[in-house]
Amino acid sequence: MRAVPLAGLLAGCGGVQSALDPAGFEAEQVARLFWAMLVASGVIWVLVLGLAHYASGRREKPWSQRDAGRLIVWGGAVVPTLLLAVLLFFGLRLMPELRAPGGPLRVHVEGEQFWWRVRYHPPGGAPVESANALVLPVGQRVEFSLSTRDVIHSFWVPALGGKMDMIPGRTNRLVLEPTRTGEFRGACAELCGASHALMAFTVRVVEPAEFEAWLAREAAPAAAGTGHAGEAAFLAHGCGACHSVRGTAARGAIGPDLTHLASRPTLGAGILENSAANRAAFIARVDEIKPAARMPAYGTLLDTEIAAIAAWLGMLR
Amino acid sequence: MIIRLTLRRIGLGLAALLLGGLLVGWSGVIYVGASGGHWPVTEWFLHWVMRNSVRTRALALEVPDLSGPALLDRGAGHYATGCAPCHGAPGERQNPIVQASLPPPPEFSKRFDPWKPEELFRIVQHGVRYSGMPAWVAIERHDEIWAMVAFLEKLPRMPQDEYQRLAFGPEGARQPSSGLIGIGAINTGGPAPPAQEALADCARCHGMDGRGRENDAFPVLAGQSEAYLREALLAFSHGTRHSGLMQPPAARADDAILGQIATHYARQPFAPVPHPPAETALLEEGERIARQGIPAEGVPACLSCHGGAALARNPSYPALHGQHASYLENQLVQWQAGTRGGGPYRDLMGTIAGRLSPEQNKAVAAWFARQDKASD
Repeated sequence: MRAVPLAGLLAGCGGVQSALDPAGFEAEQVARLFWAMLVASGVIWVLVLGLAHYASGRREKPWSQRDAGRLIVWGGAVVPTLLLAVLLFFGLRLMPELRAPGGPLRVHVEGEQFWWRVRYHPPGGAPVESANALVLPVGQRVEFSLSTRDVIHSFWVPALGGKMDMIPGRTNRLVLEPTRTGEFRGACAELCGASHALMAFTVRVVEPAEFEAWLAREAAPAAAGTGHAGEAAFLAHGCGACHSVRGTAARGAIGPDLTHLASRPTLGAGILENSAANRAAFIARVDEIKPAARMPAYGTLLDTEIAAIAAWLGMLR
Repeated sequence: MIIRLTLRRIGLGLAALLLGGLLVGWSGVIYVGASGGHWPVTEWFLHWVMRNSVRTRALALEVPDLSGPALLDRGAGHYATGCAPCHGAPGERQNPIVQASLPPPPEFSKRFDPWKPEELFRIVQHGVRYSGMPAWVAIERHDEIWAMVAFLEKLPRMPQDEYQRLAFGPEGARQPSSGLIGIGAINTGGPAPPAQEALADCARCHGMDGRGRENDAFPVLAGQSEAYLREALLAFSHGTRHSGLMQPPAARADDAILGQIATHYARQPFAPVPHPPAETALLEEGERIARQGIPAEGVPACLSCHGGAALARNPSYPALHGQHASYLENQLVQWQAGTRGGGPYRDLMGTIAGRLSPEQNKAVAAWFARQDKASD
């Protein structure tokens, strides 16, 4: 029984969503600063306890007023000021590097209730619409512009860097520079409403060439599924009023773009594995799976129709 | 003799009263028959309590504008089948069976108490306990109850021919024996009996051609798909769509007959309603919502489900073009108030309608009313 909470604690030290297992420039700097501070504060803690032990137990004659005054001035004012000044120096020195402008690729992320609208702005190319999943090239500084219309979120990928708030009426900047490939997880770090705990996303960091290929695929219309029964049901029941599946009659812009839904690892903003069963469950019971989501539940459709839509969405790679 | 009041004696006395009361009730000597009537003092007391209750509970009500012929049409259509059997009507005497109930419902041609409109509203909405007067089937549909009040205000001075025209429609009123039987005799190539009789009931208000009256009292049914009409009728019949005007007639017919009625009206040729006047800015706003929605509020384009291509893909969604603006706006208001209910798709429209403002309701309703055909 003891092992469970301990394992839970240690899980925070590594894995897809840990600032202590950095995979980005900013996260590395912050992690290095964190470890240096942890070691230094450990040393200071030992020194202070040693001094207290000496003063209360070992030393037999009382402190003179002059010695006590000196100890307070040095131990209480001068040394802490010097230590904090050193810390401030290192902290300030990091900031220009972390704030340095990003490369040519820009990504706009808009916080919605409760999902992430993602728009890639490749240099010289048309914007590419996506949602709830990021793919980033390793070794490149990518500038994020973060905004929202009607909700407050905080955008955080602990393994890469951040976090940065999304506030209505503002566009905030954040630059991330992944330093190794892999799969990571981001989350909303600001209580945003009923589905705050269900407000996550995946980040896949890949080699630049692979990223270019992925972006070209993401920009293309949906390849599979034309004429599928699921497509007919999707369109007949009005799903296309809110969702776009480029290459079909579905051109809505209210909800997440589903053109390449099948290529995303998760559903519902990082909360469910992207399987046919989960897609069907999300369609039928979104109100239970994602409280306060703005999509109505479609449980009234026939099970066969829901299964067909889930199957068709699974073909949209 | 002096009896000292102690707690014990008071308790014993109350217990004896209670026991005695139960004993009298158990013995069966209390007369509960309707014949013979109340003692005058009982009658006075009951009526006094009822009048006071209605008066006090109507205090906070605000009376809307009750003028205009549409409210009279709606109220009269319901009165003919919902109220006249007990209260009589111009040209229809009260049934002697009803007169023998206690209290006998007032025959309105002989006695119409001077209730204020808001008091009539309370009585129609909630009925009267222990009197046989039922509550409105959908007490949350205030719009319908006010229509009933508007009609009742005019009823005491209403000539017979006007009443019959309002309650049975121009087709029904022309028949020698007016009303249901009369209109049922009209042969317009509709279904065979017994669906013919049910259809006659519908036609009193909606007309055989599904175009309703010359005003905007009733929605246009001609041009709707069979699937939509059937699902709407079943929703009324099974109580998932809430209306004191439509639930009773839908429940009078069985599901198979409702299907035949849907078939009949789906076959009637569509004709848009006369264009009501509307400001250009309002129509432009309505068109923008219909075609593009309001993305900032999460409102998708209306036409993505109610446009031509969408209606062809899913006949369960209603056509909105050429429908009365007042009807469309009222439906949006009912969605927003959570009082509408509906067919199998009701949760979808309920979700979306809640994101429109009253001005946007008006704009989008005005635009759809002016469309002669489905757009995309």
